[in-house]
Amino acid sequence: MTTLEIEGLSVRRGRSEVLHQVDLVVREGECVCLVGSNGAGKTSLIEGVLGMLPSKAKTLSFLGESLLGVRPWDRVRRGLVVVPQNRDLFSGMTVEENLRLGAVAVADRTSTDQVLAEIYELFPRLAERADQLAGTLSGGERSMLAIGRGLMSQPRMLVFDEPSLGLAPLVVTSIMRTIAEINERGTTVLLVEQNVHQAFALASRAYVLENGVIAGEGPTAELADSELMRRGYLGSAATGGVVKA
Amino acid sequence: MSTVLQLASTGLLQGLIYSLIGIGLYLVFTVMRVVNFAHGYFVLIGMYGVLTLKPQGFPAFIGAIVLAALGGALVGYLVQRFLLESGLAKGGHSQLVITLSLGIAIQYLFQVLHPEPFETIPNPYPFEAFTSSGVTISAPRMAAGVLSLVLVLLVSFLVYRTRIGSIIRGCSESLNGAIHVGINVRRVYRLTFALGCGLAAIAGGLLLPIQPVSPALGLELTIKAFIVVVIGGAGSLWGTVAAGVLLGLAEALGSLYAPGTFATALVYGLFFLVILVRPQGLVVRAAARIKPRTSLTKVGVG
Amino acid sequence: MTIGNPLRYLDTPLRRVNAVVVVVALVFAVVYPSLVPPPMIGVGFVALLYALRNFTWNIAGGYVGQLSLSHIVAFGTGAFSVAVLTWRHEVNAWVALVVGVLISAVIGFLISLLMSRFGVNAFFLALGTLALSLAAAGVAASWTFLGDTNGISYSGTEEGFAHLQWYVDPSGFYYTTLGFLVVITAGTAALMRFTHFGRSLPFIREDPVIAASMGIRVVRNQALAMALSMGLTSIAGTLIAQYVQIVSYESVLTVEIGVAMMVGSIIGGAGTLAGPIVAGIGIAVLEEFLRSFSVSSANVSSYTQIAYAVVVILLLRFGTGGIMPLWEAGVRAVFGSGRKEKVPEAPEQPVGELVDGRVG
Repeated sequence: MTTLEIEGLSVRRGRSEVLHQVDLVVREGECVCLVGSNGAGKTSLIEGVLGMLPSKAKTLSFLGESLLGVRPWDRVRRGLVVVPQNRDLFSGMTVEENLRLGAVAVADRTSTDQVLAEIYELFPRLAERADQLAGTLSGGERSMLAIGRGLMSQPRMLVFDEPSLGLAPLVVTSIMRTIAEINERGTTVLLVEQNVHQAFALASRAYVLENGVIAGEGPTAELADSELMRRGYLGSAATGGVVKA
Repeated sequence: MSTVLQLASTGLLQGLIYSLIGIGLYLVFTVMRVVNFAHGYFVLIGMYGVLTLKPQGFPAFIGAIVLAALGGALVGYLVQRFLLESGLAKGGHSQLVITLSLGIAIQYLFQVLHPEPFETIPNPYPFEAFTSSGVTISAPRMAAGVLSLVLVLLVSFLVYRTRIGSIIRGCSESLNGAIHVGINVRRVYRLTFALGCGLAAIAGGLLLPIQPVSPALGLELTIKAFIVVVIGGAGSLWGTVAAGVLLGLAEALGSLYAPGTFATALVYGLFFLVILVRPQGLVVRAAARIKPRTSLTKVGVG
Repeated sequence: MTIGNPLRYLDTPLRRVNAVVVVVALVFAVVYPSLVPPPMIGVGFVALLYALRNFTWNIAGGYVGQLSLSHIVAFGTGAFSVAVLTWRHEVNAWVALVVGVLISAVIGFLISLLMSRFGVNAFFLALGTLALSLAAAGVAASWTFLGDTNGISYSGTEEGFAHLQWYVDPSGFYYTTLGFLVVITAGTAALMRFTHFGRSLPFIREDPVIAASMGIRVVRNQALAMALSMGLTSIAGTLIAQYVQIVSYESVLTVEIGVAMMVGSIIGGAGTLAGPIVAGIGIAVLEEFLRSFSVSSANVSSYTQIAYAVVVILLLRFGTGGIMPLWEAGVRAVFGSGRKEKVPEAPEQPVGELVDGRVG
């Protein structure tokens, strides 16, 4: 079953279109990654899917239901949760308040305490700092908190926007391991990353975004050896047709 | 000495009303980054609302205040829903000019409806005055101060101790964060605006037996509300409360040394200086609101 | 464009239509006093004064985007300078007018500089300038030098252009104001078109940071625009003081005047040349229209204030830029844009629904 289906998505940022006719599919339980250089349109894609930027699409459906015309917060309530690039934490509130707000949109609140305990188990560091203001956390802790907050509503799918950004290599490894664990527990994952090696190690399939269009897609194992990857997707001269691996 | 004590007590009680007016504006300002230049005119709605209902006796007076508060909140809700909401996404200064114009429209509407200035109602409370160690406080003033304090405490409980409060604070901390956890930001904005306007209307009802109402009062109260919020800072609700009391005291004690209009001029002059030297906090937040686009979309396309 | 052949400017239908309208309006404005009885000339003067007031506010408020309410102080300065200097000390009214302009310009320059220096944003600029104007009103109300609560009344006897005073026939005021309006409008148009300073103003309004990176001296130009704007607003204050012959803090230092200038410019089209003038005259006509319904004069001003507010709220709510942008769009729709090159058609959009999930 498809969890997220995108067909012909174009996204505008300000007056210019930054994403053109993107097709992307994530099936249930999958871990898919979307890689691309800085400025390729990765965050715009996420914000378009969440409805935070004006966009047009032939199809945009989540769990078989169309998201067209649905407000961003209602998309979140349907189980499509984004862990944003700059974390967007509630800095003036405590770690625990942040986590509890993560479950604020959940209709059934009986399980909130249990989920909270699970997240503290997953990130013992957050439990230690439960009463500390989110604004005083370190980069790694902020990243953990953002992930924990996203998990609080027990989403059907988590979208990670550059979880490795600005973190020390050791912390990145630990965050990536956590993402793998979240995926293994049954949450569908779309990992948006600039760091290809980390992302490919985790995901089964990958999409390559270049200048607002999908330049390639396929299983990570095959895509890693493809012409597209060899010539280096970071290269600015990379153009040409879509490479199907 | 007793004059000073007398002035200090009336100033303190008046200041509590300013605090109540101020926290309404504070909520709207910190949560939605809307600068509501019509805020004082919602106090006016409360005053004229209670005046029109002509309550006889204490229970009727409280009933009239509740009705006026609901009316103010409803007007606030509609203003946010139909006039301001679209402007928030567009950015620019539209909300500034819209609320300013709205205030003018309300003022002159009341001017047409109530051409007589300085209307008021008799003491609605079942007691007359309190006298202690040479200080006499009239019942309406005492009650207005005490009820304002109670309401301020209730609002702070709502904001800092309840689920709704944490949602409101979440929206004010990070708009994007609020969306990412599934908060219906639009609804929170409408309710916050309604709450702020409702509080202003309550303050108006409490103020009416002390201060006769004229349409021109709206502007003065708007400015005072801004003084309270700017001096109090954006950090916490308590700053606003403290600044309200401070303004009440300064006004009362200032009247000892300077004649009416000059004292007002002095207050406004000082406020101008405060705006110049204390633009951090409020300004930083306001700047983010003036261009809501930047708060919605992160800098650097990626 | 070359100065040698000004007709070359009339290259599009819009410009040709506008040129015709401007010529007709000017001819009408000149012959208007000979067509109507003296009381209506007074109405014409008030209309032109509103236009002048809006137009001068627009220089800083519209072109540079400084939503200032300190223009109230400028308006009051113009009125009080003629009241104090001419009425009390018999200085020539024109000298008083110039003094008012200079004082207002200096105040404007300093306010803008202060606001920039402390990095005050648009909202605090509005709030701060409002506080300043209220402080000025408070000072005027308690200072006998400025007539405290009684105001200052006219006490001269001389009449004529040299004294900027006419007792019976208001056409002198009418033509003087018309002259000021034409000169200031033409001057501003030239300034915006031919000087580096004038051309920089719209850039500063759009984005001060980018403007600065383009080498525009943002702070200086903002302050100069404010000085020019407030200095010229002072002229309107002087003229109205001479006309009504009484000045008090209640008549010339009220927030309504500042809001009227701001709102008038926005209704007409902030940052357009003709908008504030059209809106000013329109409001005066509206006031006169209400009066003809035998509405009491106190209520006339109330109704016009409400009308002002409602119109500006609707304009902002529905995102139109005011009367002038609407007019331009209308003329283009009727006569075509007249551009030689064909505007390329927008590329075909992909089939699909518009995803409208934006916040707001």
